[in-house]
Amino acid sequence: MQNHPNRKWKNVLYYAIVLIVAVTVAFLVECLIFQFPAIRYKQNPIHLKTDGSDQMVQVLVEDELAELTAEEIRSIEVERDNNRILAEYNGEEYVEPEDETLVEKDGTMYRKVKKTTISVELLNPCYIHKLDLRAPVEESAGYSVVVSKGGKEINSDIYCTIEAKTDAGIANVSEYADAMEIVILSEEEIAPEDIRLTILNTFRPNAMRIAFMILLLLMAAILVIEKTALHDKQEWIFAVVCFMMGSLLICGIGTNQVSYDEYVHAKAAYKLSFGTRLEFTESALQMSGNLLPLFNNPEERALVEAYENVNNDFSWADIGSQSRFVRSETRVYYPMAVGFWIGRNLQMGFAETVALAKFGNLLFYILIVFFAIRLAVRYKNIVALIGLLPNNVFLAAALSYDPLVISFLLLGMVLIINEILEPERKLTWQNTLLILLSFAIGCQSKPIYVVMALLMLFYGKNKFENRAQMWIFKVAVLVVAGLMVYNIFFPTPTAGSDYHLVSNITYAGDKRNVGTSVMGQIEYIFGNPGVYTVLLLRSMGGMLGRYLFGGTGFFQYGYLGAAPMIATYVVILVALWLVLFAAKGEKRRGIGIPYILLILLMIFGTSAIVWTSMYVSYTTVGADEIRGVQGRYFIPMFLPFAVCFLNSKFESRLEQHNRSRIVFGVMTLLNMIMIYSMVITKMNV
Amino acid sequence: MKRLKQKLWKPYIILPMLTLFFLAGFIGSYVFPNTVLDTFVINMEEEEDDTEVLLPLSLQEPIVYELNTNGLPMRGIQVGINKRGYAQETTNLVYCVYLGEECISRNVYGVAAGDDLQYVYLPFENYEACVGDIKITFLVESSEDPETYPALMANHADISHGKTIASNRPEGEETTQVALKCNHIYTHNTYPFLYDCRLLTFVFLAASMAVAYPQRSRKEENHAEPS
Repeated sequence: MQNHPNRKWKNVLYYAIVLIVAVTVAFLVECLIFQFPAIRYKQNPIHLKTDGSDQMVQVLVEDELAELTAEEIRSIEVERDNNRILAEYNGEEYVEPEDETLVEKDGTMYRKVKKTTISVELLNPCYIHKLDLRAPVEESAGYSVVVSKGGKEINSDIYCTIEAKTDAGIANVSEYADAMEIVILSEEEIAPEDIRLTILNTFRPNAMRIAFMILLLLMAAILVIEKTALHDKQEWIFAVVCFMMGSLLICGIGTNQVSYDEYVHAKAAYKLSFGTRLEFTESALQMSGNLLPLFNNPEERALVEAYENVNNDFSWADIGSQSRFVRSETRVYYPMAVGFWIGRNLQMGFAETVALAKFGNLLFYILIVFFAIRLAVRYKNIVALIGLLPNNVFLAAALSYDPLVISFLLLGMVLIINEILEPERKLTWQNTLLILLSFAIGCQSKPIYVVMALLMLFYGKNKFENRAQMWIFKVAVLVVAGLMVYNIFFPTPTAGSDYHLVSNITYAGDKRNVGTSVMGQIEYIFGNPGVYTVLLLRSMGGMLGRYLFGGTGFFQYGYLGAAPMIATYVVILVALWLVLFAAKGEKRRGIGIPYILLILLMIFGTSAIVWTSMYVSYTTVGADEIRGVQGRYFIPMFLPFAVCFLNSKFESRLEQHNRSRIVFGVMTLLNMIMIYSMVITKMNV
Repeated sequence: MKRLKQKLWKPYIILPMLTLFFLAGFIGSYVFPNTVLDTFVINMEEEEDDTEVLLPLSLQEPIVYELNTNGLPMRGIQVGINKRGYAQETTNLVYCVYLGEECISRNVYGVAAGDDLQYVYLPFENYEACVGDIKITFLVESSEDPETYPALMANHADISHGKTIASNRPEGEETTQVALKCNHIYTHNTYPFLYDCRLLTFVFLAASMAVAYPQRSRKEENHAEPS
């Protein structure tokens, strides 16, 4: 006992040293390596004149046709279809609007644009770190840059956008060159004299990169120093590591909306942060409509955040009202709403308020998974691994309700599996309450996952004190699941002027896609059961194949991208090793063949329901494909699948703390590589 | 009190009590629904080439608005009243709802209150009867100069949900079809606690059963044995 305080102080000393070393190393690496060009080619900003007075600069403006992307074409079709439905509902005749800027040629759609070509011949070669282009535009315009040296093209792969709201687009070039050609494609003509062009190569240490390096070194130190915690307090390691990585994501991504339907979640959470009186500032309205300007580097970020703060003025906010009663499925946004509320009441900037909302989500996710890991019996590592999956960490650091769903379902499944692993132990009221509440909360916004709770119907009679308890428990589980599924088709009426539209099943269907109809699709399925079964099985097998062998990376950071396939294989191998082999000296037991079969059946059934729900609500009636299904929808099923491999036969040579080091090491490294390559380099350099 | 608290604070007391509480909430949600207003936007904005029109109100010649409520009882209507810069201290807007030729709801709104241009919610008395093909008439009661009477806001939109008949038109508007700028107001019942109460009833029922009364009896017997 006397050694304990000494050990504590020793650890504090270790961490103090690690922190000093980490900060020093990070600053040195940043200044000497990353800022090397700024030191080596020190120069003041070069302002180029495009009004014709500068011999080095030539400007040419001409007409051009720009081919629309498939996404742009789909977006036009979706908007037209939704307008048609609205007109039909209002009993009006739908007239398709004519867009004079669109041209159809050879079966392809083009938009008429203006092409502004700026040719720059520098007197002396210089290092172009950034190219700062300012131009007043009504609609955002894209531009590309080709840089040359000695008449030879050295980089033709530079693209940037002039954001209409900030009238600026700052491109990362990082080339030593003596000439460049900039091509701007804009909807309206830009007068050459209105364009401001600046070449930048200033010494500016990057705060995000420094923070990244410090946290990377700190996490490495934790995995080396914390032997005891890695052995029996893995939930604390999870909490610290997850918080650090989540913080990097939140700070790095800022107000860029790069998560799945983030604007929808942002709007719901923002509304929930108010009482009955809503106040939507211009920035909040843009956030809710996915219209906030994006940034790709710190210079653009400063401009975007200044714009957001100017437009976050509550003195001219849009005032509205909402029901004092919150819809049940909306409550999943409370962790984020608290952040919005605090930020608003502390009169913080818009970006900081959004970050607080994301921190609310992150902390809540960490809290629930913390308890899931703590309560897991002899399979804590696998729960920690699932908690640290890049998809989960990313979503926890975004505006999304998925972290709440995933964390509560993880907790619920841990409790169910604990009961399965100890068949003789009686079901306590605390566990009963916790399991059912976990599913009730976790399934509030995605009720179909409640099917997973039906596993409890197969608990043996030894788990109960008597027959009455057993039957009432099982009936209660069945009724809870039934009520949640019933609510999908017959939701309790809520307040809102769109009540009669949203409660009208004739118009039910996801309005992000053309030709959706819940009733129409259900009729189609019942009319063609064989065709649909083949489609379902083909789709399920196809997705599994693509994720395992088809080159589609499973670990995704939303719209930022996915990790390569090798990451999937490494994590699968680590997970299999964790569940197949017990730690040295650890006593384990399997769940038994009947439960394995039941779990596999449950996973298949839940997956089929997930696929079918997307076919019914999100896919065009009668389509030969199922749209909108994403790998993340199956994350709640990972834990039950993993425990099927638990057994008492194999034992690893490694002790628990070393196993934890591998698990946390692999997951931390994977996340940090993704953060660096997708967040730091794409938005913060 | 402390003893009572200690006695009640047992899982086998508190859990069934909570079950009953949520059961009462479940039943109560149906018995006492929360009624909310529904706004159906009918005609509030002009098309690009359209302009707003003022329909002057009078003592005798009503502005008539006809509609079908699609089987729902209509709770009221929201219209734009323009006071045209006059105080209208003694002016009341009288609006009656007719079912066939019978006035089933006569209502009065004091125009003096509110801004010069106001979009006000005009509720109907006896709204339960305002169902089906109804007709709403708008007149004024006033001792002011008729030239200063307020007007209702309208435009030239072609709407299918209601028909506006107004004999008093501004100059140049005689031949043009006009449409009252308005929202239809209905209501519906909501059940804010129904979802939670019905779910939690069964959650706490299951938890209550896990308290295991027979086991408790055995424990009590075991406790009793030594004495």
